Amino acid sequence: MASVLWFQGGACSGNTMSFINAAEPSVVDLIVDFGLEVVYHPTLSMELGKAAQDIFWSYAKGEKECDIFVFEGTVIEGPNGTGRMDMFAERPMKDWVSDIAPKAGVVVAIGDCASWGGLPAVPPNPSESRGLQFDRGGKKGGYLGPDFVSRLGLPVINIPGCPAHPDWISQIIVALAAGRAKDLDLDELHRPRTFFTTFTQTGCTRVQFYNYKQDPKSFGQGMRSGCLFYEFGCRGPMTHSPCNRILWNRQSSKTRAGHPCTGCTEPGYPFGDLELGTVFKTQKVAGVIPKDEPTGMDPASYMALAGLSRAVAPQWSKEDMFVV
Amino acid sequence: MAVMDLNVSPLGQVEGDLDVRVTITDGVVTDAWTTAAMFRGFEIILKGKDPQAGLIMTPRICGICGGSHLYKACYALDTAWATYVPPNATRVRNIAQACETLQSIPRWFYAIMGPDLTAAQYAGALPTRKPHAASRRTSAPATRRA
Ligand code: SF4
Ligand code: SF4
Repeated sequence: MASVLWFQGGACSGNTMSFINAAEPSVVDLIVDFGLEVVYHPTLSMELGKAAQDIFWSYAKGEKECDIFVFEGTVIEGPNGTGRMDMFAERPMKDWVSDIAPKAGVVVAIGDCASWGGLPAVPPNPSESRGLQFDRGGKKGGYLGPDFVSRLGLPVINIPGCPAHPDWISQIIVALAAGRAKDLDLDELHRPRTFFTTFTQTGCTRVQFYNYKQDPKSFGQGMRSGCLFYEFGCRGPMTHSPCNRILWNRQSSKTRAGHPCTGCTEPGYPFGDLELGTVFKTQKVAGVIPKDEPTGMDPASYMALAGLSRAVAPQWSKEDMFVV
Repeated sequence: MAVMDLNVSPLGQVEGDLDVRVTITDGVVTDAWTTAAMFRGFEIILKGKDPQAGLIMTPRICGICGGSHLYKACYALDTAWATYVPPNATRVRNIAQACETLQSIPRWFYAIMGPDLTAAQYAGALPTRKPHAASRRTSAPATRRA
């Protein structure tokens, strides 16, 4: 039996919606088979007003202990550090976080916003939004500070994504509910390695076109062929996510559907701060060299490989090979 | 005259933060105010950015109906750029919109609002359907064309 307290700060509820869509395991499995006790969830719980406040205070004062504190959305510090841009149960949400997080068994940040600020933290960050333990760009710190640990001595566990995939969330919660928190192997951004070591590109159906440096010629023209890295800003080769292994809706992924990966599991997302000319467009140096090389590549080796690949590209790679 | 002020903070089972204050006079609600005190400033962030940034940012206003916001962000660009939208593109957008509605309604009913109907106060308050389907339609449609 593990208790979960779930709060939403500067959030869109997208991660909650993702969570209730989970299939392996589902939310019902979590509650019925894994004994998860949801002590409060803003969308799903029936308590309101005073009854809800009593629950929050019992955890904030330490009269009760929760095993898992899930936070979705940014911690809003605005205006001027007061946190009054996000009021919850008659207090700034950030004050609830300060009181509850250190007393929780483990703290889980779900989605980019809770992990490192996400979209609300894009400059000029009008709400002074921060992640729980990281800031936008991946600098350790965030609202709780770089040295924060929960009651079990663990840092904030980040499950990024905009939103996170339903099964990344429910599978990590199963591990936590089963008391395996300390067995989770985390990377330097506190992401569970089991999900965030391979790339979005791992399993992408366009890899053959990536290999021969062929792009789809135009955006969104029923493009099943061609790789989106060269012109359309795909971040698949430098984004750690299992989007092409654990498919969305068990069916597809952005890149399979012809949409470039925007790198939403990384703290730089959205890259280029959405400035003019940075959206769905590969950023290049001197007009030809991609500004961001695939992870682990240097510009010189990249250019050598790309030149060779394009020169030897077979005819089929330039055509639509998906014949209907 | 008995006047009572009731402050409900938070009001759950909605998307996002909501507080409600109601004035009750002699057992009847005579006034009500709602407050949703959460501000992220998306409009401020989008100002001066790439026009297509709206396609990334706007759907994240709300995680429940992101598709609808995306549709309108596309629509805004189509209007501004006078884009010719082929009929099939409109159909694809409409199918996507219908899919969002299809998942939204059962989610709202069964996961969010439905559990309330199990509360004891609702017993007897909801109409129950008569067992005989025959009683459902009392007269035939007025006109019928072959
Ligand atoms: S479309 Fe993106 S993820 Fe797929 S092969 Fe190209 S760069 Fe990699
Ligand atoms: S494909 Fe890229 S942008 Fe899309 S969900 Fe996966 S990591 Fe995020």
